[in-house]
Amino acid sequence: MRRGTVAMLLLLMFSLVGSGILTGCARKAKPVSAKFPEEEAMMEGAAGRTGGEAGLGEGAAGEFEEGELPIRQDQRMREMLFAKASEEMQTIYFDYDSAVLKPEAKTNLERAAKWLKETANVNVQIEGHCDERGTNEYNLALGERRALSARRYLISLGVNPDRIFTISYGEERPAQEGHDESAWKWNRRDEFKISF
Amino acid sequence: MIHRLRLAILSASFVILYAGTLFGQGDIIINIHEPGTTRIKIGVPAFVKDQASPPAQQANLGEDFSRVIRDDLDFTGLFQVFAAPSQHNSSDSPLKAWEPLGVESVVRGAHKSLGQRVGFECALFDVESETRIVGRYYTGLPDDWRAIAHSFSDEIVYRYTGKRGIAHTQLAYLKAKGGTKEIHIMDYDGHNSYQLTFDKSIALSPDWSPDGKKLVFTSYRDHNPDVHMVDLGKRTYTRLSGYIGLNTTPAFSPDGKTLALTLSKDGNPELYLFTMANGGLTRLTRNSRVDTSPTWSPNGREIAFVSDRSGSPQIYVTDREGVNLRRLTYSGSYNTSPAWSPLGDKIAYVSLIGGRGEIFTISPTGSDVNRLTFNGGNEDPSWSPDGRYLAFSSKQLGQRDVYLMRDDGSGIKRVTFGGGDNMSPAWSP
Repeated sequence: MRRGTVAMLLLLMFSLVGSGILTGCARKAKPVSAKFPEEEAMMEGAAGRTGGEAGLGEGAAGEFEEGELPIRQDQRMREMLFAKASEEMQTIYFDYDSAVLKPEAKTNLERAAKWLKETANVNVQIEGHCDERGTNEYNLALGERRALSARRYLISLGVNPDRIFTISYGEERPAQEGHDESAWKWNRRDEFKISF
Repeated sequence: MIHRLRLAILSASFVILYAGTLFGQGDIIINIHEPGTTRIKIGVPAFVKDQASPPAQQANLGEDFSRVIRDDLDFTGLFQVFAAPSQHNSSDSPLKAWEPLGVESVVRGAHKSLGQRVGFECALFDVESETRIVGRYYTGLPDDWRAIAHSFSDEIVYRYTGKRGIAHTQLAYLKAKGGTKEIHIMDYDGHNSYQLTFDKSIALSPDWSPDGKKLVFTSYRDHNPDVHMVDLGKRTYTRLSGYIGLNTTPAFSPDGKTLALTLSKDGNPELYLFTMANGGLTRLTRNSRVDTSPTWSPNGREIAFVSDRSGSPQIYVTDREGVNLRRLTYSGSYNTSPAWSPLGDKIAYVSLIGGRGEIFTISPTGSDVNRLTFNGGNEDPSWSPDGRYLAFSSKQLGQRDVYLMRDDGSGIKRVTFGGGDNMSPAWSP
């Protein structure tokens, strides 16, 4: 009940800020935080380090704006070599033109998060991919959103954001050749690579 | 309706008046691009070898040279091109021999060898009066012969339209081969192509600086999609934007001082303005969905781009301060790759029709939606600098190749022929 009220309030605030009505006062007020109360506590560590705001879980996407989750620019490691990930990090798949995590994807990510937390010396790179339909430039952005969805979920499960890198290949690197759904469904994916 | 009718009559009378332009009597410019306008009949016979000149190194140089001009003029859509005069003529005058065909002007000329160089005397004659409209003498290296032919084609177009033609321009494009995509540059008609980048990586979304001296693009050469710039004159290669995440779809502002681009450094693909002088960033968009593929209005005031904030990708327009946002496309569930015409009156884009890409144009107010292609697999529209033609890529023959067409979808012409997939053409200024 209480959670519902908070959500309604947040929704209201966001729609007002989003539509620019409250922009003037929002600037003076405390920055709006896009978190459920329970996420607030969970995200404290991460937000403190990155200086940014944590995002909502995927479940709320569509109703809420996802908060920003800036990526630390000093974390760019040019020479880091990422190799095929372990059994614990299975490729996850998406619906057409969607970056929403499906239940199977969440299950895979939960397993991955557990393993990542147990294996502290590993960094992970999430590669977002698309099927060949649509245009390259849009698919690059869509692939990035797919990678960022998984990143956001791993962070929400307690994985240190500084260990998670993302890269989008758009439609440039299909897993399966072919020009119908039998290939496309394997190409709309996030792959995981790790680096020690 | 009456207004439109009057316009049609007006353009018809201009066609009759064009001879006046040729005689240099005034600044009457015909809008030959008006639909339904009769094409001007022009004769382009093979150039002859200058009698006193030593033999040319290239066997059929005179015919090859004329063929380039014929192709240029034919592609414009303004001319009906004839290679030879009528066989049934009784006149002694070489110009009058074209009259039975209704040919109004004739390109004639001669080529000569000048030691290490070649020279071309090019002239355009009016058939009726048998007077020379324009004459030009060009010299260059033997390899320059195509560029010289293009220059004279543009001169002819200038005489008829008041605007220099686009035959001297180039296209930057991507060639995909063995998992890599490298940037190549070719003449607008597909000849003289050469490879610009050798990164053994993926290059994407090339765009020319307004002065034509630089190219910006995204490359994965440093294991992240970063924006790089090649200075074609200085032969330098610089990384401009290397934030973590996406650095994609760079687009030069018309004054060349700013790039609009997509960055995901703040956790989501958003549009930014990047100041060339100091790398300063201004953020334009702020929402949790995709914002990408910016293209500038020719006055630099507005930017059209792609966003899926409504649920599916559509074209939006914002001003360069990131405010006054409006949605442009409403029909179709997938509209991407906007390209704002240098004339300002149209935005070309790709719409998926039954899952297949087709090229459309729309006015910046959202009216006048025009479908230009009908065979599927069409992407990446890019305008010619005069705003009359579009380059695009198409998979209509199985592999992806670069094609050109007029802004009404007519005159489709293939300009690359395999050797890998060819795509993402960017038309030079």
